[in-house]
Amino acid sequence: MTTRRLLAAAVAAASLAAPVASPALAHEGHAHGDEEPKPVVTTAAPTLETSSSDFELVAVVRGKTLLVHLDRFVTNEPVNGATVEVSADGEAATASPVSGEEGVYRLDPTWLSKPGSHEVTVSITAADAADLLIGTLEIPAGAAEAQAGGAQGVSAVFGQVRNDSGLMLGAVMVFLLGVLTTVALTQRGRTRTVAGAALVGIGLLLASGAAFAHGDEDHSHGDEDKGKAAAAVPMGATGASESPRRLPDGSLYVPKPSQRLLSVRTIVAKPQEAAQTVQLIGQVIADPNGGGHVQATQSGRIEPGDKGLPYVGQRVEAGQILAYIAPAVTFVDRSGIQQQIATVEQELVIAESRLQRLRKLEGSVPQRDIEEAEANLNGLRKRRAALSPALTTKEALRAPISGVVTANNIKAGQVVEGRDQVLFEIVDPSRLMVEAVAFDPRVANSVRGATATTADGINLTLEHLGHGLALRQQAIPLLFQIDTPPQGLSVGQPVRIVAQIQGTMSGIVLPRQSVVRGPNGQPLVWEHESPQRFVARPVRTQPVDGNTVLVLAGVEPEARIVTDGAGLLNQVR
Amino acid sequence: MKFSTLLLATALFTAPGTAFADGPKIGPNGGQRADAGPYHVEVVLKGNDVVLYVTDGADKPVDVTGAKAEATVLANKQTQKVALEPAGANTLKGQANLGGAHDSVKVVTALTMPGQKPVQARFEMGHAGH
Repeated sequence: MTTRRLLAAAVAAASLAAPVASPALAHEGHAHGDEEPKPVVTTAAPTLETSSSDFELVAVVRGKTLLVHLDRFVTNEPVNGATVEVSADGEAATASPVSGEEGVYRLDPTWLSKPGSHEVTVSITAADAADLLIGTLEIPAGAAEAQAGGAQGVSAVFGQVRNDSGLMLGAVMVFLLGVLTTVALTQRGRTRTVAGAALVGIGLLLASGAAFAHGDEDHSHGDEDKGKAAAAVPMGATGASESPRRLPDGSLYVPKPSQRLLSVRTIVAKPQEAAQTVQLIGQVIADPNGGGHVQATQSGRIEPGDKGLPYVGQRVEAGQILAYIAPAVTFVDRSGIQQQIATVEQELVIAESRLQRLRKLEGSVPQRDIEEAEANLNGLRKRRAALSPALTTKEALRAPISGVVTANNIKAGQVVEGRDQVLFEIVDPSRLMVEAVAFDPRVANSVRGATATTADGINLTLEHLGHGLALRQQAIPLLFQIDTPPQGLSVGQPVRIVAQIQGTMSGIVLPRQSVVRGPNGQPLVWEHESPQRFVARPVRTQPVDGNTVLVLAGVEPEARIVTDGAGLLNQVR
Repeated sequence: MKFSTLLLATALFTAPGTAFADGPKIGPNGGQRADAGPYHVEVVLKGNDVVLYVTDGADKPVDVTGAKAEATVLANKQTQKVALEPAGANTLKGQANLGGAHDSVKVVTALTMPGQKPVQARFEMGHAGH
């Protein structure tokens, strides 16, 4: 029975194909040599797509209104403020811009309500270019109802099926089959009534009738798909919503309003020469002349400076006092110093009185003795002066460079050891470097320029400073200076570096965002093939710098490749 | 009938894919040639004259007696419509104001053969190679 059903369904499908085929015949015959190398994607509403080297135009019929979407051919930017004059059937009218929408113009020509094909000429005058475009707009009979409901097509299909002899033939065949089956069963003597046979037959007939109805629908769509695919013109069923969708051949149908929404922009692929590149991994470091450590020279207790202790992120100037250290003096040392002070003070008193005594006897004692006593007294005073602040003087910790405090390892009152402990780190954010490692000595020797990209997508322009001669863990350290480092860069941040090395390669330079990943992980770009159709082109790429890639294969020159919105297009299912 | 129709339909859907072949090219009279419906048309600009040559798909001249044609000419950012009248054999002629320069002039012709629907063709002068 299954084979019968299939056969009947096929027969009915063929009967449906007839009315589909005849308009196709009429249309294609007429379209001989029509200068349209690209397939036309038919949509629910009658649509005219045409383009020249300057403009791309999509006109869609909405009821009694013709909406004209006008874009630049190369960039796919909407064209605003253009004068769009549409003429057909000897009637010329200027379209008015639709307010609130970019590059959309509307007009209500009378010929729109006349079914049949209309030869349309569109004259466009924009600020910088003028053009004439032509196209054929097919208005189907009863287009208005079709747009309004879309149900009209289905009911017509059912009507045709009912009136078709193919269906009746199939039904009769299945009925006979049922009767035969029943007769066969009866002859084995297992059933008794002829009424049963009739019932089974009728049941089968009903069942097959239902099967037809269902099969018709499926197969009619199948036919449509097949027909369109064969002509490379996949199309949505009547009444399908105007949403972007993936067509059976993997390309995308994206109506102009959706393109505007996704802000799809394109560039024309041009073959170029670009330097060969290698990718390296590196990290941001502080310039040795643009980074500073603050360390204590002796152990002691931290005391805040005049403005308090600097916090992380604070901007400090060179020479600014960040903190004081009150030297830690041990008890033994302290008593030793106090002892010395006492001794010196004692000697000081003796020396002073001696000098006074000698001065009174001036003339009777040798001048030498007086001078000796004076020198002794001065020396003792200096010793006293040197000893007294040892217990009270604090050491000021000053910022060695201007920059931003990136680490603060101390708190007020903390006791720090001298030397090894780094109290503050200061980095000058305008002087940062990138350090990378290369495993190939040839790369290290031939690096010319480089760009780097951080994990959050910031691009840095790098200048190659040099590379170390000593291997570090089997790799050569390379040093790059960052030109005008952007805000928000931090020391230690990992970056991906694209270094240009000697030698060039030819290919098509595209922005990085053009290249997206296909479902199988393969890199691909979207080509804007016709006004509302995009085709995926698998590519082989090589990075040029942080922003651009070089497409080595997969894109033909002069193809329009999507730049902005490629990622969104890639998600259309 | 059914299966043959289906086959025919498929064949008809497939056929035009292979039919598109000729792009804009230079015709025998030195002008640009393009396809217009079942015909090939060639436009030659001579001074201010617009001359349209009509041939069939096999490049055989077609008699244009009784035919009508209109050319929309875009020159110097000005659009003008030029009626082309049959001028013997397979040519139609008209006068346009071209200002002498034929570069970057765009022409759209609408040719109506007797008893047929109009067919259009588009030409970009000065972009012969395209």
